[in-house]
Amino acid sequence: VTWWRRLFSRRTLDDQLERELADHFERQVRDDVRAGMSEPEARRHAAYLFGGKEVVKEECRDVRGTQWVTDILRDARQAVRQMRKRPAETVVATLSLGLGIGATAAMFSLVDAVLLRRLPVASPDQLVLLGERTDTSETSSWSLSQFRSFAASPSLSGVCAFRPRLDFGINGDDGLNVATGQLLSGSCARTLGVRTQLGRFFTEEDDRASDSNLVAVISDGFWRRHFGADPNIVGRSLSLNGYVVSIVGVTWPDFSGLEPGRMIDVSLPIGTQSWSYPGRALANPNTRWLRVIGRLAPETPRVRAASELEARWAQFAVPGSAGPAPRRRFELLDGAQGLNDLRTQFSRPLRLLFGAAGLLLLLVCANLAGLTLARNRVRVTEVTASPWGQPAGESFDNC
Amino acid sequence: MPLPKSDLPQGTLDLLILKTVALGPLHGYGIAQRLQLSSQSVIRVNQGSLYPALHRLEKRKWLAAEWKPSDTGRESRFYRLTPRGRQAMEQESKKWERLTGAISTILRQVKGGSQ
Repeated sequence: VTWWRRLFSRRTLDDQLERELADHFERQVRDDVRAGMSEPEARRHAAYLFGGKEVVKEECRDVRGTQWVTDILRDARQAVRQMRKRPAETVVATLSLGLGIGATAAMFSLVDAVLLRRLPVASPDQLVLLGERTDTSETSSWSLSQFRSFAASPSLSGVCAFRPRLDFGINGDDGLNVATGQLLSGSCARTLGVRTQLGRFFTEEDDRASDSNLVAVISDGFWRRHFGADPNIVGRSLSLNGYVVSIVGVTWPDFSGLEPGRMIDVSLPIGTQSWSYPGRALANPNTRWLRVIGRLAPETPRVRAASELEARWAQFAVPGSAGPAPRRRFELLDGAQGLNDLRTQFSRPLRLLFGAAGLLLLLVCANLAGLTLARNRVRVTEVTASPWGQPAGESFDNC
Repeated sequence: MPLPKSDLPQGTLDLLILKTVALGPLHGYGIAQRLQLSSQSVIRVNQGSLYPALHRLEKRKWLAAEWKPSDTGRESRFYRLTPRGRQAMEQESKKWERLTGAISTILRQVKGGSQ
């Protein structure tokens, strides 16, 4: 008999056990009567020999190895009964527990997205973020020509330049909306290993896109929300800030851009900056508007890559400024988690909030414990009223 | 007549049950009676140890149980030794004989030494 059979046929097994023990009892009585005792005397004697029948039964049930399931079920039934009896308390307990758990879970998903999760790309450990620091400030923005210089480095097997946080007005069937966007260089797909579920990602070709041939890659979420997951999406056009772009691909759901905690709807090639990020002289070598994330070439230690990239960085012309130039340092940062702006900005407040949510949950638990304790003082009579050795909810049979 | 829990060493009850049942299928009461008889009342097994042991042996598939009509007119649960149980019994009894042999040798030596 397997464990499951023993569990589900426990009624039958209990009946059989009862019959078996009764048979033993009757045989004892019969033999005692034969030995000369009167019937009632024999019964008393047999009962005495038998000891606690319930205890014997309990031990036999334990042998089956299914008793704990039965016990849990009995406890659950008991719990439901108690909850039904006090609906107000149940509602209060459920609501406050829900609140505490909900707050903690919500805060954790934020902490996870911003502080913990790594970019959903292939081997994020190899990614590095290029930055510069002075005594008073730090930046990870670079100009187009600086990006090209880094891109030529042998220490990096791929370099991706991107401009995060651009919003576009989109004119759809459902009126005017805002789509969050980013500009990506054509090298990003290869560097990060981002794949599309439909169509293609853009390539270096698209960096030089003219105004007549504008392409865009959209995210899975945007595709579902805005286009109703249209399987023939590739080739459809989309109006962004009044410019019509042609959709060439849809990314997988896990890719949400290079900045943790921010969802991206639309990605455009950086070649579109004249209209997608207008109003700045972006071709100017001194205008630093691109973030640069690179993938370390195989077998290249980070330290060596850093010194090689620093040599390139040292050759950049420092924009003429009056007075002594501030001391600057090149920095190679961990890129596994993507852009670190949100992280640096919100790390402390997020930790604090998460702590607060945890404390709230703790308070809720303490309150409920108090409530239960108070209630159980009332229940003392109920518990002591149960006969010894007789679990509540079981029938009581005398033998 | 007080009935203390059997003072049998751990594991011995299982062996004794297997031996008793090896003579032929028997119900729980019969096993207890036969044990008491053949040990000249030295061994008394109470139900609290006997039935859990029977069920444990059955779960281990050393015993098989079956409801059969009996002399009382009711059905009784008869236990029978399985081939696996016979194997286990032979192993256990060998182990037991070695152990008791060793213990009695030591006891004799100590007795001899003190004289």
